Amino acid sequence: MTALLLDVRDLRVSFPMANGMTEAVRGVSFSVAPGEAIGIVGESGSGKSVSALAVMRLVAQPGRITGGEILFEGRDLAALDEKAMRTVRGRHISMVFQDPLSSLNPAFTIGQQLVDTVRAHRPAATREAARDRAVEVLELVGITEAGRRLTSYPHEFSGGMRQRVMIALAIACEPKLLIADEPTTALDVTIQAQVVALLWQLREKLGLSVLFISHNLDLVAEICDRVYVMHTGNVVEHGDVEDIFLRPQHSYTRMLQNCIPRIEGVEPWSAAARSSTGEVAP
Amino acid sequence: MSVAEKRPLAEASHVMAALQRIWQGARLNWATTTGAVIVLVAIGAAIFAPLIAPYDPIEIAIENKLLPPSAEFWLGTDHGGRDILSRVIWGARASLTVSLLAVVIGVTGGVLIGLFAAYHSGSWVEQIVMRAIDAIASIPLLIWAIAIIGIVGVDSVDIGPFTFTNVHKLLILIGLLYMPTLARITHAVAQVEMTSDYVKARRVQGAGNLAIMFGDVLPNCLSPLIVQATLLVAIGIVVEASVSFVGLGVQPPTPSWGSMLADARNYVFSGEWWLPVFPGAAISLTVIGFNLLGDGLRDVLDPRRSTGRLLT
Repeated sequence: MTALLLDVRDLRVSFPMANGMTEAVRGVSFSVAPGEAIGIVGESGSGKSVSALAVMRLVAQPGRITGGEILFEGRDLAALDEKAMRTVRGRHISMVFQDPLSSLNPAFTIGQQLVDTVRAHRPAATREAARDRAVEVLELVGITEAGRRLTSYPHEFSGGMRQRVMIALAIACEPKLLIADEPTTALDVTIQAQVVALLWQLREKLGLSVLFISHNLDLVAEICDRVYVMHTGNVVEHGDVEDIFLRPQHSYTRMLQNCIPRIEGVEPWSAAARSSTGEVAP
Repeated sequence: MSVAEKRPLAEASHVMAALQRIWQGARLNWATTTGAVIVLVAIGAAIFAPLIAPYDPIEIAIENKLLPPSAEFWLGTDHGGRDILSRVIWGARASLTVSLLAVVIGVTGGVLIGLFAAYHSGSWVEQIVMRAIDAIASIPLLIWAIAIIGIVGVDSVDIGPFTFTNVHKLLILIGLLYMPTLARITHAVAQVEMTSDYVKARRVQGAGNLAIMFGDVLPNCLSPLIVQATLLVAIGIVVEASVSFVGLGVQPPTPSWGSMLADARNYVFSGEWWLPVFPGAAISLTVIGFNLLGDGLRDVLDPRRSTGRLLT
């Protein structure tokens, strides 16, 4: 078995409440191998987003990691100091959020934001080199006339385009792991399919590992190899995507599955469904 | 819902585009234009005073004493025979130096304090800083200024190689007294901006705290700060004039609008109306100019608020 890229063991995250600490994540373990896409599904409040933020060591104050190990390439992120952690963020692990409308700084052009991010992790890079890299990643996420769009402000982009820009920002420094926290939830269905297809392509092209967080089991089934199902801070079930999808063991997984309205006769996880979304123009 | 609400917000904080809009005059109305013209005239008078003032503003020519406005002396002369027009033009220097530099000092300090407090949001540090600021702001600016200059005195002070004249002391003092207002605004806006998703996204991209505070949060606080700074310039002019009026500001014989008014007090009821009217008008017009400009900027930079539209 190859070395794991990310190996989270017995992770615990707690938030102080009026009557003591409340555990939002209660001993969760999951792992991502290089090049693998794994999904974490669960309802709101199941602890999936908090787990992802804990990997980045960005759990919102006053919450904190109270136990467990976060091994990334063998290094325990939970034990790193803040300065060392900063070099991991963006450079090795990157993240895309739910709401692309507010995730870009409205006061700067996307070119400035991309160049800043590239140069933050490669101080040696010249402005021109960073700009070239910005054009390159924008083309990679399927933004046409990338060179011209560099001078555009975020509000001049549509929601789907902004999510592409967010993904471009996330992969600008060639991270090994991309955490996508409900990246499609704020988008409408056709754009969702495009973004999922884009993540799928990037994974193939760049050998990127993807940690995909969603409440939508169908979406997860489309791009992930393995799935973890979370409920009330625990992983209740995990396994290959087909096993979970076809033979869910836990009653909660079945409930999640049943709550998604779908068209009769179409199996969302099937090869046909994959290629149909995969063909969407980059 | 969130989409519809966030759009104008995002564009409001969108400083560069707003400046472009000002430049293109897309939303300029007559009030803002008037304000801008008055401000430019005042600044021009201050800069080019030696070139455009027809007479020496300081030299006394007693034979021309208390002449009414005429072709020779457009705005008349004062009790020392000095040309009022020349003194009003030179007086713009004192007024604008004090008010503009005080705003620069106030914005610099206020922004630093506000960002510092916002960064420590929720902790006791924030409470101490903001409550101290409330305490300072609870006493009116003019009273602070008169009290402190009154205690320190109006003479020049030497600190190291620098000589601080009374004007310098006054502008530093007013700048310090502006800080609470500007710190409150920065603090309030920065606190909101810091919870936004783009700050979270910047953290995920590996940006440090300083880079986020100054590189991301501050640019998004600029619109309300620019508006407030413009309005504070107007307040600074009034404060400088008031302090000079009571004799604690610009010292004679240097002309200043406030001290000219003080000199004119004795002539108000004896018929020499041009002595108080012209420096008074200079103060009022400049203050109105900065206020109109500030209101106009608020409209352009912040579409959520619509005060000042009454004038359009």
